[in-house]
Amino acid sequence: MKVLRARRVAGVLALFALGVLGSIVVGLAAGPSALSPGEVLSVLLAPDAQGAAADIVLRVRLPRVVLSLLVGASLSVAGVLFQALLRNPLADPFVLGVSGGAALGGIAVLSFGASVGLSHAAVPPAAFAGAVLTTLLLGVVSGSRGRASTTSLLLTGVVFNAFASAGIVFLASLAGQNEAAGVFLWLIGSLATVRAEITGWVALFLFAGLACALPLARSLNLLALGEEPAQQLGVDVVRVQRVLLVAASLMVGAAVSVAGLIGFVGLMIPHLLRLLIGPDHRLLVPASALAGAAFLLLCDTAARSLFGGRELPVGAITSLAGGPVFLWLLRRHQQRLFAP
Amino acid sequence: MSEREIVLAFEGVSAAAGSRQILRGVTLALHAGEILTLAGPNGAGKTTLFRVASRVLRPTAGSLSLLGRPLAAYSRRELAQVLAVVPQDAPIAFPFRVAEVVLMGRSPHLGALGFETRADIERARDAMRRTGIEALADRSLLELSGGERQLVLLARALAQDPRVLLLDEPTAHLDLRHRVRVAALVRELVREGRSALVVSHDLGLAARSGDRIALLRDGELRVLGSPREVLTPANLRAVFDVDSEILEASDGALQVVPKLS
Repeated sequence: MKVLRARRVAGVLALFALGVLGSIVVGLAAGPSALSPGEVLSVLLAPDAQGAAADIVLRVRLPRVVLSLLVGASLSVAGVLFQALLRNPLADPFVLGVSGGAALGGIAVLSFGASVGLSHAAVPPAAFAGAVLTTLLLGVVSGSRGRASTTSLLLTGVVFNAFASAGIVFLASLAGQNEAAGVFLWLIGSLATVRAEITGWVALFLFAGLACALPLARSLNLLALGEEPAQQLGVDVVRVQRVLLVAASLMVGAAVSVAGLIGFVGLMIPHLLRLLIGPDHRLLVPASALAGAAFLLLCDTAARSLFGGRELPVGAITSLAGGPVFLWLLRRHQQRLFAP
Repeated sequence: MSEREIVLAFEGVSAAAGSRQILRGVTLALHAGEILTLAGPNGAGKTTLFRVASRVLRPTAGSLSLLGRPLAAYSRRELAQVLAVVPQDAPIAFPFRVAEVVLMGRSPHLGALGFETRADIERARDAMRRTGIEALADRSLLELSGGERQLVLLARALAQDPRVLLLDEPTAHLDLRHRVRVAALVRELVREGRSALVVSHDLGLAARSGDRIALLRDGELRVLGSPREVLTPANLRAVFDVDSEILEASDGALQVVPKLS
C-alpha cells in the first residue's frame, strides 16, 4: 500500500526546487542578447560582478524573473485552494472571475487612487479586496454550500469576467487611460512592467497565503470528502474555509496587481501535478508553488525571447495553452459525472 | 441491559432542516457494547438523528451527551476521536486512493502538521484487512463500485478507532456475502466494547444481529425494545403501514415477511 511519507514529500520538493533553479538560469540567459548558462552562473556566483553581462542579468532580467516566479506560484497555489474549497477540479481564479474582480480593484486604485492620495503600493491591497469580494459573491450566487455545480460555477465565472472586463475598460476610460496599452496588458496579462516597490508586496502576499494554507493541507484532503464528512473527521470546516478564502485571495491579489489577468495557470499546473504526484495536498500545495513558479517563468521567457524583437504578453501564451486544456478537462469531468 | 453504561444519550431531541421539523422530542440511549438498530419509513428522521449526534446539525430542542459529557462540550477533534460516522455514500472530489481515504480516519488522532506514523498506517491496514478491502488499497476511490466504496467508508471509521459507531445503511449496496460479513464485523466490534447505532431497512438482519430495535416515524420514536418486542405485525402496521407476517428461523431469529395487499 502506497502512503505519503514525509521523506517522499521532501524528495519530490527537492526535485521540483532543482527544476525551479534550472528555469531561473534559462530565464536569465534567454533574451534579445542571449547569454550562455555559464555566463549567467558566473555573474550570479561572483559577489560583485561588473560589465554588460552583469547589467543584463542583475538589473534587466533578474527583477522580472523574480516577479514571474512569485506570480506563477501565487496563481498556481490559488488554483489548488479554490479547487479544494469548491470541491471542483475546474475551479481556477481566472475561470471563476476572481482574478477579474481583483483586477477591477487594482485598476480602480490605478485610475483614481492618486486623486484620493493613494500611491501605487495600494494596488495589491485593493486587488486583494476585489478578490475577496468576488469570491464571497461567487459563494452566494452559485450556492457553494456543499458542492457547487460545475455549471453554475462556470456560468457565474463567465458573467463576472465579462463584468470585470467592462468595468476595467470603463474605469480606465474615465481616467483617460484608454489610449495606453496599459489596459490591454491588464486584460491579457503581462509581466513587462516590473515595479520594484510592488515586488515586495507580492512576495509578502504569497508567503502570507502559503503560511495560512500549508498548515491546513491535511484538512484540505478531508474537505474533498465533503463538508459534513470533514466535520465528522474533526475539521472545523467554517474556520478552514475562511482562512483558505483569505489565503487564496491574497495570492490572486498579489498576482493580478502586478501582472493583470494571466489565465489558466491555476488550472493547468494543479491538474498536471495531481496526475504526477497524486491529490494529497500536503505535497500538492508546496509542489504547485514550485511548479507554477517555474512554469510561468518559462512562459514569460518564451514570450520575450522566441518572437524576434517582438515581445508577447505572457497571458496570451498561458491562455493559448490553457484554453484547450480547460476544454479537455471539462470533457473528462463531464464524462465522469455522467458515467453510469 | 438498562444498568449498563450509557455511551450516547438523546434527551428530548428535536431538530429541523430549514423550516421543516424533522425530529420531535426523541429520547434514546445507546449502551456500551450494544447494537441498536434504527428503522422506519424514508424521511422518518434516521439520518437527521446521525447528523445531530455527530454535531453537524444543532438540535432545536433537547440535549445530547456522549460518554457522560454534554455533546456540546466536545471540540470537533475530540468528538471525532470517540465517534465515527459511516455515511451511505461519499462522493469524493479528487482521485484519492483507497489507502489514503482509510488513513484519513486517523486525522483526529494526528498533530496539526503531522504525517501518519507507522502505528497509524498499521491501524489503517488492519481496518482494510477486517473489511476485506486490502486488495483495493492502491485503487482510486473513483473507480470503485458502490458496495466497495461502502466497505472503504467502514474501514475509514474503523481506522478512527471510535467508542461509538454510527452506521447509515452500511449494507445497502452490498451483496449477500458482504452483508453477512459486515454484520459479523459490527458484532465483533461491539464485543470489543464499542457501541453501534445502525440505520437499516433490513429488519431480518437487524433482528439477527441487533440487540435492540428502535422504530421511528415522522420524527418520533414509536417503539423501542428487543427484536421480539418490536417486530410484531401491529407495530410494523403502525410504523410502515404494511401488513406483515413474522416467521421464526430454525435458530429462533425473527424474519419479517411483508404481505402484498
